[in-house]
Amino acid sequence: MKIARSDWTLLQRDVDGETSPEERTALHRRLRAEPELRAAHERLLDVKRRLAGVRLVDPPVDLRRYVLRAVRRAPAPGEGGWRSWLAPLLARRPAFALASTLAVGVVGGVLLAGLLTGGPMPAVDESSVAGTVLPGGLPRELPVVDRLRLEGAGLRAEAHARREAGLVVAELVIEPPGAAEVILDAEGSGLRTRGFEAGDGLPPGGAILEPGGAYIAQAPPGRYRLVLAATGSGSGEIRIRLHSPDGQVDGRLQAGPVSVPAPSAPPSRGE
Amino acid sequence: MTERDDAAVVASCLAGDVEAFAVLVERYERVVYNLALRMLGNPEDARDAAQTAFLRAWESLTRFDPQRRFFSWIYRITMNECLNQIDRRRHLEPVDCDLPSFDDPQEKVEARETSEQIDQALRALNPQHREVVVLRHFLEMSYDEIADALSIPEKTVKSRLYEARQRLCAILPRSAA
Repeated sequence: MKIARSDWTLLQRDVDGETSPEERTALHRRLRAEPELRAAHERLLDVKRRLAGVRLVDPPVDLRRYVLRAVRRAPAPGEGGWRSWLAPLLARRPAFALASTLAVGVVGGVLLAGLLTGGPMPAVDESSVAGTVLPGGLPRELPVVDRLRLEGAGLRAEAHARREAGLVVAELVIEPPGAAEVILDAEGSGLRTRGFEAGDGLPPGGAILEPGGAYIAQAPPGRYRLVLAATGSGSGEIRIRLHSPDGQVDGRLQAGPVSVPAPSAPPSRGE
Repeated sequence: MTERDDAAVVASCLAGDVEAFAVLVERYERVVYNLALRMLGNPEDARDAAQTAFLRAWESLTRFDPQRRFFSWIYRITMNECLNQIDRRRHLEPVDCDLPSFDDPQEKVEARETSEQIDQALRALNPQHREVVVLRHFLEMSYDEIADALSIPEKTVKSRLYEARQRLCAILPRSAA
């Protein structure tokens, strides 16, 4: 179709009902005489009709609840500190997204590494983390490099940082009777999430895996392991926050400094 | 629902009433989610973007100008998040949108086909064109509201919309009828 720009504008205004009576009369006279212009007009009407036929979709039923729960725990507006701690985890994947993924047969968790990392990690035993962390967990226990006792808000837990070369496991054991909302935050650590394992199966609310950590909405007593791998440089610090109805308790695991050379230029990937 | 109402709700939030934020989420979750859905073409990503937008809105509520429409403000936040996601992904995933329920199965099939075709066509537009189509045709906003939300003149809104629809004429499959 070779329609002049000014004619396209006129057609657009016409289908929007914005032409004057005189313009409209003149245009429709031309439409009868000019097949290309008429085809463009009809095409435009068709596009507009189809756009109008698209219905709004209801938002997920738990979107509001999820946002409000996060907001209630956030600092007051303007106080800051929010994004550096909670938002990166809470604001992204909903729990059921991971849960549904897990439901297809992955008992332990889902590995995001293939999407999240691309650089070489020569010191990492990739066989330990490639693919999915299977129900049996890691093939062997890594040495403990830090341990932490968390008590308060009616909760008791033990946390371990296990590490071998560039592979780190943040292990959290929640002791009975308290269940907790758990945040494992490795943002800025130089580590990225490779997998997750819940020793007694998937927690009731599922778990959210993020490149920089994990969030468990409701973690009953039991053992939880977040598998991370070095992909950059950082402190190797993993922050832990446990929530209960009575409050919260925080701790920091030190897996030790992480330093991975920048990868060579990755192969280009088509759009 | 009035802009004054929104400003009053924001004032309540800033005065320490966290629950007041629920009013804003309830009012705008539908448009925010649909905006994100049409921009990103994926329900999961749309949910992420909508959640992040609301949380960022809460975080920076002190910077909201009560003289402006709340929607324009949350819109900008949502769009920024969508553009960030698009930038991070560099490509869009196949569309798998949930459609509203229909009584007539045939109507449902046709609606799904139409929606999928439109989503694919939208993804072929640049973000500037895509957003005006979404605002005008899906969220049914006036040119004035769109101009306010985008902080651009109405004339520019129309110009972008015209260009977008002209492009859609070229790429959207023709109706079967």
